[in-house]
Amino acid sequence: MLFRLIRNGILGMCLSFSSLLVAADIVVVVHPSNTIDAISKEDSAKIFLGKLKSFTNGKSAIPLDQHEGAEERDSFYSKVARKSDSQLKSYWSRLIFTGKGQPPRSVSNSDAVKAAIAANPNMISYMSGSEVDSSVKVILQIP
Amino acid sequence: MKRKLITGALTLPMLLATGIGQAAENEVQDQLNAIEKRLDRIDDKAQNQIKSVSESAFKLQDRFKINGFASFGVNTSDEEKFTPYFTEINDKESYLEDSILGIQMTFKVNDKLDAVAQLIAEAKEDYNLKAEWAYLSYQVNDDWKVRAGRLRVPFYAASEYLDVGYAYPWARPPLEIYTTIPFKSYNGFDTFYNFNASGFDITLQAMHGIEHFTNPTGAFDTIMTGAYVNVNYDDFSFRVGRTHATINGEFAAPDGALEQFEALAEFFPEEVAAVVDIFSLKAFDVDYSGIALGYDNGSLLILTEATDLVYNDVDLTRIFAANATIGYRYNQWLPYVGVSRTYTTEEANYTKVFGAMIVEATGSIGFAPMEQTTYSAGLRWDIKQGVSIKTQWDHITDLADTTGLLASNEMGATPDNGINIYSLVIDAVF
Repeated sequence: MLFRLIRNGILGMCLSFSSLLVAADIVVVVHPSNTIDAISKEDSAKIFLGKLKSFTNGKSAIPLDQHEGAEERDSFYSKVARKSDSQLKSYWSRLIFTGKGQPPRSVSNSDAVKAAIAANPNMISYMSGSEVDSSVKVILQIP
Repeated sequence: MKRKLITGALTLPMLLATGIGQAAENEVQDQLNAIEKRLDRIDDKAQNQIKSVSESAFKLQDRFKINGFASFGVNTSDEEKFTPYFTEINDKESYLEDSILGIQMTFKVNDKLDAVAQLIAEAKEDYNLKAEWAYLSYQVNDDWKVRAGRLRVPFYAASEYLDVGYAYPWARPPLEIYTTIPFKSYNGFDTFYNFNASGFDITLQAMHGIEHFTNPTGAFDTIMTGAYVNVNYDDFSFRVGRTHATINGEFAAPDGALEQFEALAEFFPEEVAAVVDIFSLKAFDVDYSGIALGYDNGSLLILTEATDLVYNDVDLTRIFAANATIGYRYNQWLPYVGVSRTYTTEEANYTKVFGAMIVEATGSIGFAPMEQTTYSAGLRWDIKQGVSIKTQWDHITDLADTTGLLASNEMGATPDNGINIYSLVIDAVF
């Protein structure tokens, strides 16, 4: 009994400590059923910039953005693709107006991201680490 | 769930209060169950309706996309006699040269097929609408796309998006590279194949099509075939491509010009014969080649490009052009400097004698030896999401006694000390 209490206490401390760590991070998430366990920064940038269309397991990858101006979005693109909002917009305008691509669809917050991923197992998105729950699987943590 | 609690709560006091028998109690319970079922059905129906309405709205929004761009610019130069070719930039302030509005509609016919139209209205064309792009696009698979219809010529790195100022750093793209092609679009088809190989993101593009154009030397049908390779690796981008064009048509010498040349046959027999040959041509070939290397790490931006224009089976000049631009981003600010240079690398004999006269008479490049360098400095300010303000100074110089890529409104004039162009442009995408 005492052992269990101590064990749970330690576990709990570890958990809350790790969730504190996670809170400051941006995490890349997929559907829990996705067999991918990890993705590189480069590959996630490529998927979101329309240069890569599938995961390393061959399954098609559908990127989902948070809305323009969202902190998570700015942070994700500046850390993963080293692109500011306006650079990203400039990049996409080169593709949109030459018919070579359209940017990912975007949703308004992390809850909508979770709902969209739950509805489509091919989706990949990002959110603040503190928003993560069992409906998504974290495949990359970006401090 | 909530409703069950309510009916349950109603049933119990009703039974207690009336004290009626088991049969009546069952009857009431049955009625309540029936009501509940009916409510459930209505509820389901309403839910379905909401679902289908929102689904169809979602689908329509998903199937039909509108994107737009706009530029509003003002420019002036310190030279009244000369304007860069194919522009109307002179010493008056002008709002026409760089102002444009564009709208693109993309309709998803099905999973594989898109119908796309891009309409532009240019200030210098009195804002008359014209379609620069209008095509069907078929996505064969994730990596392979085929398009047919009206498309833009992809000769050089920025050719396809020259109208979208927001898409590139300059207020004015390098004149030496981007003003020498007499048309922007063509009718035909193109295809892309995209693949990734050990970190390299590679796109192969090929096109074939035809475009009719007229200039002061005549009316021409250009049949083009081109192939292009785009490679992205890390912060580097590389592009190489060549377009082979067969130009059918007849050079039309301005009235009386041939007679004037023929009168000089006594002194320049070979040269005059060559000029007469040129103006009796029915077809000739042109190769447009381009190579571009770029680097962008998010802060440092370097763009370089070199092009080569070769006329085959015809005695004209061969034109080389190159640009290098370097910029550095400080938050929303991007100061940049650039240098562009163009010169003729091969010159038929007659062009040295009569070239300048022909260029002046026809207003068409390619007939005369030519040389020009432009030094540019500019600043792009990304004022907010989707809006930028750019300003640029261009100094055109080193003309080596040619008129470079400058058109003159005065016979025999040569610009001495070069000219300065000042531009200010607001660009937006939406």
